[in-house]
Amino acid sequence: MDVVENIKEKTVTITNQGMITIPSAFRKIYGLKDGDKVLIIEDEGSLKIIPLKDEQDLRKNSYSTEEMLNQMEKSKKYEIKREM
Amino acid sequence: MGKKSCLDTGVITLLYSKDPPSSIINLFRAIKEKKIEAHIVSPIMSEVFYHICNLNGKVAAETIIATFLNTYPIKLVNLNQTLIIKAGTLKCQHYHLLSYNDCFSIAYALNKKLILHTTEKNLGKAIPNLKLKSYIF
Repeated sequence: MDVVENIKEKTVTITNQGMITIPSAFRKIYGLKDGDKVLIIEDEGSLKIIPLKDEQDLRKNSYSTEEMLNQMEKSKKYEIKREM
Repeated sequence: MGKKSCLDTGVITLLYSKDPPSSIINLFRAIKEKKIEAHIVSPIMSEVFYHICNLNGKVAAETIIATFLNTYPIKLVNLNQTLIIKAGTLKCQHYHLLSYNDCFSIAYALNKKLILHTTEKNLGKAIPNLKLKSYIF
């Protein structure tokens, strides 16, 4: 049996300048390095941190242009049919 | 600031395909270099999120939307009464052809006399006075 170890959640303290430290285990998993930017948004009463990435990296696991065009066309046909 | 343009869902979504066409890459390079001033009606970004979420999952969609809006100098346009009425009129006239988001972008492009950059094939026939730059693949 494989045992999957989850990262431990960690409490961090806000400094008097409003800064927090993202725990190193999370930085490692999400590939966050010194100087990287993140977006902080509200989400149903919580704060969510979304890392900003290099565009080339974002495309690596994506679909082809043809597959994306097919998905958009299919979705639009469905939407228009549903509204009629 | 350069030529003012309005962007539809297709051109933004394709920027994050595995193999983005060179015409799309060039468009966004021009936007980054401020040779083109890009306007996007805000519901369009939700549709981009939907398409990417559908294909690549929610985490990818969140990262892509956040990265996109923080990478390019985009003017996000909120809906107002003028847009609501014009887009609604377009939907009434072309309900069989246009989605609501098509109507918002077209209404904004017509009112502001902007070029609409689109991957849609039939907009020119339906709205002859609309200035279009079509990306057909």
